[in-house]
Amino acid sequence: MAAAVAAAVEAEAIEVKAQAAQGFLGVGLGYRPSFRADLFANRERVDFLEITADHFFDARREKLDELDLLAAHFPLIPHGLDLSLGSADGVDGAYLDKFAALVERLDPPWWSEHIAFTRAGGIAIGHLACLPYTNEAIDVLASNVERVRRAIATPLILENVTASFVMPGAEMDEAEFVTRALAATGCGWLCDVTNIYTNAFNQGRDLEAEIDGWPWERAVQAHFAGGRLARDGRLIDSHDRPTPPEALRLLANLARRGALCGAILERDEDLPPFGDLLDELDRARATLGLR
Amino acid sequence: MPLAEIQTALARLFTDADARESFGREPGAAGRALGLDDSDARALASLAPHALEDFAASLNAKRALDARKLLALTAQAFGPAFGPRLRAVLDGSPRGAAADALALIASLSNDGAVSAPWAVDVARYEAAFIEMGRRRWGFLVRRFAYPAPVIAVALGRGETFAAIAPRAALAFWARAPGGRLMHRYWPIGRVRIAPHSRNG
Repeated sequence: MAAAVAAAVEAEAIEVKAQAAQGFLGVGLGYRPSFRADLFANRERVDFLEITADHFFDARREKLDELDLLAAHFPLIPHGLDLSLGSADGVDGAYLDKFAALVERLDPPWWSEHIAFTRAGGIAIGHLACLPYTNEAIDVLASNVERVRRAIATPLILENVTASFVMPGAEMDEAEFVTRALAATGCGWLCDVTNIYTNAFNQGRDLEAEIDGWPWERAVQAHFAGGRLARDGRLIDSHDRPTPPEALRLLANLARRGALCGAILERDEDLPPFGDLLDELDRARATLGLR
Repeated sequence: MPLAEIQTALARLFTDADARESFGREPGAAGRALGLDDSDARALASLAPHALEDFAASLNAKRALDARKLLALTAQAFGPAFGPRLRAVLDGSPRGAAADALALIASLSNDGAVSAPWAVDVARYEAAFIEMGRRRWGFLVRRFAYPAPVIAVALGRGETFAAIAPRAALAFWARAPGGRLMHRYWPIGRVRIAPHSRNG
């Protein structure tokens, strides 16, 4: 089934590339309301924004005004958290409808979600949970993406996530899983370089040894961020530190191997002075060879 | 290991401390109760001992962080007592940050033993904004024993207080269908705040 879906939707992956190739969006920020004033004061240094789609579902007038203001000044990419594309139960139709309405309102070049599940058996987990690296999980993902495509024509790109642990019964490693998931769904890749680094660090894997296993050529957008070390020595994807050099090296690799159309800095907690975030964007631009 | 069964079991284990405890103690029986067969339960039990607990803890931490963002003034008003009070209401499947925040406010409002009653009014004042943020239209009227709107503004400026005398205030929130939120308040009597240090 996965192969059939892949063949049927391969055209969309090409469409993502073609559409994105019309213009490199640049390097931008994951939008957080707490830095809105600083953002507008420095808008020439932020190329585009990624918004958390869920924050604008069922939005009241104040949020819609905020959205319109952002859209008037920046290209916006909606990024979802809770579509649960990896759920064996399927996707939530009401949630999908809200997402479709937002995408229609913004008309972005693409939108994004995660290779993960957030709901199962009627339980909302409230966060991204990693899928087992199995063929069945890929089939489920492809089937759900197919349904989503019927509701949202705009190209979807999928993000690799952090794994607190690797599920037993894995039939492949993470790089192969992501590669095959993207092929089966026909989606472009939202490559989170920090998530790749975090998983490799926590699982004691050698990133250099597996570098050729990742589907760099499918990357459309990147995420980069920094996390902190927990007391037990694990790296946490907490988005509260500057991006580590290991993740920036992956970003550079991505720029060399892929046809990246944009990169977003994610910073959620312990926000530094806004100038520090702008400097981090500049470092990413330098890493990507943009200046 | 069928995906649907394993996802459902994991969702329970991630969000239900009792289920995790049972599974850690007796994976076979608890696994069957979660819909897993013996081999799937054994496979899941082969995870690192603290893997499920660590993930569940990270979920709760994220939940607490999201609720705290909605209750910035309440967190300031309650100081170090805020975190434990918030964690006490975070139980079971996540229901959204606004619902978690409102559950905390309900718990604080019903607790007659809170040492700083003015802080409860700040919490109720902040909760009214959250509640109106969820409504498409409607109105709310709240009466406060302490000048919650004035205290909220002072907290927003980072001020701290030694003591606050009770002075009633009336606050009103309204939203027309599709419209912006409108808010007014009326202090009843003169407001007296002793600045510079926080205390009950």
